[in-house]
Amino acid sequence: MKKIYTILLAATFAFLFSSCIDMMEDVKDVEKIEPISVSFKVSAATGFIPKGGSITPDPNFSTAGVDVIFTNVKTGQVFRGVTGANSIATVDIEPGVYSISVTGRATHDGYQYFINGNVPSISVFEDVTPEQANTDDKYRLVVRPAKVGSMCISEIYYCGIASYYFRDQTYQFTNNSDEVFYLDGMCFAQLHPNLATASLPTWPDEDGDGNFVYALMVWQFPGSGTEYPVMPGESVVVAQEPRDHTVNNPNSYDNSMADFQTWTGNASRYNPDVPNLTYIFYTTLNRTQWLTSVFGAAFVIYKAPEGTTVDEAYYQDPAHYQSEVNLTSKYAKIPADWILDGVELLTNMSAMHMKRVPGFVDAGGTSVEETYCGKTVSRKVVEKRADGTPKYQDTNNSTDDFQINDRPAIRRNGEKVPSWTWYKR
Amino acid sequence: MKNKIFKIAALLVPALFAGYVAIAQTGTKAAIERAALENIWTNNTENAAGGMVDAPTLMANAFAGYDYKKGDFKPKQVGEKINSLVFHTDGGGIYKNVGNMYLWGDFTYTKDDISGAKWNATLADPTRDMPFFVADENVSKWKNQTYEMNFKAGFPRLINNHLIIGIAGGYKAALAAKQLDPRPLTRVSDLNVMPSVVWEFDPSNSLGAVFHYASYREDGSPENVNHLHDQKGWEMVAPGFFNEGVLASFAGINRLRNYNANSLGGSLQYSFKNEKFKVLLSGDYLYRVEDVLCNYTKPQMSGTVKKTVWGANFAAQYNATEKDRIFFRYRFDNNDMRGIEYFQTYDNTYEIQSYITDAMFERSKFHKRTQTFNLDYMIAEGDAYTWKFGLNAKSVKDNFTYYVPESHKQINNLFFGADVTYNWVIDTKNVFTVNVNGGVNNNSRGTFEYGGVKENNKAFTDFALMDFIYQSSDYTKWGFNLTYSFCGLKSLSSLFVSVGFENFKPSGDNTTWGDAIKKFPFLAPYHGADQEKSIFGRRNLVSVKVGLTF
Repeated sequence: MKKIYTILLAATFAFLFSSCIDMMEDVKDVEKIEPISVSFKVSAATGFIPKGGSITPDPNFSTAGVDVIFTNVKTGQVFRGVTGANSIATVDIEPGVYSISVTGRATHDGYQYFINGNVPSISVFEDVTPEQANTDDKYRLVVRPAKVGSMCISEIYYCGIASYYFRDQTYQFTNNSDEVFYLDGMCFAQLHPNLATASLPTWPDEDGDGNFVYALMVWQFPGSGTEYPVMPGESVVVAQEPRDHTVNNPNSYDNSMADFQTWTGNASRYNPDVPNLTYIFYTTLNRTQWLTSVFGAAFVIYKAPEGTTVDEAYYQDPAHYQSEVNLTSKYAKIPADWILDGVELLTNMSAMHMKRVPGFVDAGGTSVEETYCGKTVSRKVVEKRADGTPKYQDTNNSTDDFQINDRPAIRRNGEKVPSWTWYKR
Repeated sequence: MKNKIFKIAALLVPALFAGYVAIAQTGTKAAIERAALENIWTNNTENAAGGMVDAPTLMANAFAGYDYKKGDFKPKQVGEKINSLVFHTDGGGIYKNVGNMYLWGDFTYTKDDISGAKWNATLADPTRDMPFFVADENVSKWKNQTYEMNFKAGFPRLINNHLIIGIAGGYKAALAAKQLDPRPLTRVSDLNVMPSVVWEFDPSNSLGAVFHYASYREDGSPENVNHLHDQKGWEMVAPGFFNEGVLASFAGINRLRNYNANSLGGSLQYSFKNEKFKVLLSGDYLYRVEDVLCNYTKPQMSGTVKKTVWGANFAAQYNATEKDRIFFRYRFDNNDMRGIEYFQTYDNTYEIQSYITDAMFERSKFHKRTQTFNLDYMIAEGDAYTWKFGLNAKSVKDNFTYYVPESHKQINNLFFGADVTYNWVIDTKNVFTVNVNGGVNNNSRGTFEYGGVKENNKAFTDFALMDFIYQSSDYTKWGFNLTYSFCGLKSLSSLFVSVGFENFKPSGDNTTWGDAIKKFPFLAPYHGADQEKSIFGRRNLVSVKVGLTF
């Protein structure tokens, strides 16, 4: 019996000892980190981009002069480069995992295009030469050029106010073009995942790469085609619960003049004066209220092309929703070409690697950095029209386009109210 | 189960020693203190065989204590208020009934109620050298419990009374529970084994060696009880370097931190003694590697800490006369720690489904050199002493480097202290021991050149920066300890009651680290040397003990 104990004891110590030695050997010759030089190529592609397949960039689409921004996901340090005539940017960075965003404009066939894109996470640990960037797809970003749109998301108040008050969440959309825009049928979607995360969903191969975004909730504006015109410089306000919130919480504000509300069926959270948006798709419906993350969700607005009707029935069709690989929850599938604008709201600016929105929708992200602080994000004004309405900065990169405001405001830059709004009738 | 083992041990350890030591007559607090100083091997080395060389008189004590600490002159992660209950017992010596073996053991149970701690949502002891952990900004309470037991055994001499074999070991288990979201229940287990030998050339000269193996495990995952309110979290990798995110129930940053450390080391000792002198020279080396994982099922590395510690120690005792005794001790420690960070990607291939390491780099270096010096003069009386005068000094050079983006922190501190103890024997039954001590810490260098991009983040301004200011603060310290021993109990040496107090007062001289903080407007009131007000207030420690010596 004694022998068995001795053998057991010896075996235990031998096991402990060998695992201890292995562990020490693993880190014996670890190298010290040194800076590296990395080249990165930006190309433009049109049409469906297959997943993992070969993407054929359009050789006639020049991407010279585009900013390439490397953001280290761990340290938050930002390194910038600009593409040359060979569409390659070279920057000196530290080895690590980066999110790379590409931002710029290009003219092609007489149209203005946003050249925006991003790689949420790429690992670079050694020098990458321009020759490698030319031949290795890993160091090339093929961007989907996006035509410069008309309607934009101009302000979002999402973080709530002390103490833990979030019923005053508000979203504003502005016609940033010089032409009338018909709101009828436009959709406003909250994207999946609700919270920024480093583990992005894996979608089936059939969807390709960057051809769709996926929504948890889709709201649709009413109208049959031309009932809700939004003139240049006019804006539309959508609130979770339009009311004078200072009655409930003196720290909050009055958004009772919202044009629409996102009501999910809670009778005690309803303003009968304000028209409802229709929810035409949801993954899980919260009947208490439509609360989006106070840490920052991601949103897009989109409109189907003429001839396609998007409504509740549309999203009953399995072709129009999608599930993550090996999972069952359903998410609305929104074609990239339909998107008018999108904004990535991050927990904080160092969470850029957790972006959910594809780069061609929003190459960056914005954040108020805190929760329940009453701050909002809104687009920067670049000029004013003759009637005093603002023209907003829209480079499809919310990091650059948005500013942080200490308090929410309705039409803070003198946007006009559409003639059809409920309190004007 | 673990608790049961410790409860049994708590009863057995004093009982074991009480039985044998009843014959010993020594036992006031002063006597225990003197014995510790004079047992040069057991006081200065981990060599259990060295206990046979010291051949200490049998002695044991047990006490229950209460400690109270309050004040904000502390690292941010340490509680502003700490109430601690302590039960401790230790004892041992040469046991004639067990073949003249040297046996010694201790057991300690500590329960800490901590409040006002910040920037820690993982570690049971945030002051241990561990840069990889999850932090939060909430001012939190913690309830911690620690059980610790150690033993030493030195076996009878072999090979013509030249060779002594010994073994020492210890086990510590701790539980730390944060009381506010995000809240971990952190468990610690720490095991060490130290076999040792001593070769006695003759009664004066001895050479010893110790082999050291230790295994440390710690595990904590901050969870939210209130699922409606996600919490902000920081995955720390070094002071000022972190990844900020959300600690949500089903998403956000990785919450779990699972620590697994192994240490190997050893030490060599040489001692000389005659009637007047005792000298001990020792050198030790320890290599420790600690992996930090943030996922159990799909092991994902958060980082690794590689630590090399070596030190040298010189201790001496000179008996000028029968009563006049001088003790000297100098120790040098070189602590070199490297932080290794990993870049891993998840391989979703069916056969693999695990994280693959793409690269690993040494990214941070923590280098600390510590020199301590102690000089005590004692007027011996019986088995204790009447007066003891002590001088002590400690020099710490603490450097931190983050390679890319390049950041440096350098802190040099020099502490000078003195203490006087008077052991007032009123009569054969009543003894008062009074100790008064004080000291001054002078910071000669405090620079923090931060090259990161998050200097406006709370985890830098409220944590890394404030801890730097704390570490590089000048301060004065004073304290006293009053012990009353009653020696009139029949089978016991003494019953004692002790009250202690310590006060740490930071100075307002902010000149050394002034440059480092000038760019932070919120610290503007503290720029310059003419400030009477310090950034920190005082910190006071009160302790009360009631115990028995056997």
